[in-house]
Amino acid sequence: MMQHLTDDQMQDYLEGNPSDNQAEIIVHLASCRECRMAVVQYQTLFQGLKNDTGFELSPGFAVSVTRRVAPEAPKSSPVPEYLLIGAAVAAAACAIYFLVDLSSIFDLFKGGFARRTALENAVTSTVTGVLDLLNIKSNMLLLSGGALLTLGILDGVVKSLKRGRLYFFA
Amino acid sequence: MAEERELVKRILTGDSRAFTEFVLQYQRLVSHIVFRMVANEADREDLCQDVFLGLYRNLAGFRFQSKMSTWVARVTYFRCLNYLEKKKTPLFEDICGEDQTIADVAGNGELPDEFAVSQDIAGRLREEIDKLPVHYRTVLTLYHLDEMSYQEITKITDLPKGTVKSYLFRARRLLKQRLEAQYGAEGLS
Repeated sequence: MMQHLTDDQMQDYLEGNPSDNQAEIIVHLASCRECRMAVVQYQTLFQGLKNDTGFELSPGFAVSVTRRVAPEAPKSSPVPEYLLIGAAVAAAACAIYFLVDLSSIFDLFKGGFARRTALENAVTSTVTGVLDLLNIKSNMLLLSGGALLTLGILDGVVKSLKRGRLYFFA
Repeated sequence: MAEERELVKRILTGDSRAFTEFVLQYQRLVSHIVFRMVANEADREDLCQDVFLGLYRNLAGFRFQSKMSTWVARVTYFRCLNYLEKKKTPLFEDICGEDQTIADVAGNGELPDEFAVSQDIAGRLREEIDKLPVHYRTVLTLYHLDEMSYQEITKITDLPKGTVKSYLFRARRLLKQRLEAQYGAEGLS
């Protein structure tokens, strides 16, 4: 007759692990009250472990975690920030080109023998152009107003995009 | 798997609702591991948050070579180990050997009156689990609560399969002995 089951045999049996002497174990359990009781105790324990509770997180946990990751950098932003910076730089360059006479600078790139003269002319012309512009109060006001407006619009666009789509910008 | 891929894709394109869905889907698993491994109640929820922040940051690197739940559990497990190391919490291997009994590990210095306070087995079981070493608690949780296989637990913890099984069997034996001592063989069955 088979000896009493070991703890490992009982646990293997309850886990459903195949054993070489599975048939013997079943027969033994049918005839041995002591082992049967021990198996039932393990069964109770298995059930208790499966039904264990007490792991509740606060009700708004998921939302609170989502809020925490919101300001973090997106790794796959559809409109990268450098595009916006590039657009702003391009806009500034266009404004300078429009408001300041740069024709002398372009002469520099046309070649020829009088490069030094052309450089002097370019610097003089650019400085004069900027000074002329600064001397005109109305233009100064217009320029400042335009710059502030552009910055304001860009800031508004960035903020609204951030609000509208999480992780949109870095 | 296809649903998981779609969810990850949505999260990576900046869909906040998708990330909330992700958290709701895995918060049970994460809380099981964190609550089991970390005794300090004040730190548990913060640690769960840290785990999800870490998962979010590394989501782009997840290649679906394992189940998402295995990856989530693995990240959680190692984050908890890291926390315990920082707090200098001794793990089981550091404080006792293979042959120690439940009395040595769990301690039995409580007074009979204190035993009487906890009447139901479930409550008592929870108390006894909390007294077990960290690795025992972890494998018990992953196997019974999260219904993970030995293979999955091995992937999560980096422990050999034999060690996982040994921890699990020993933990159950210890719990059974302890509950039996409290309620008697008849009371437990």
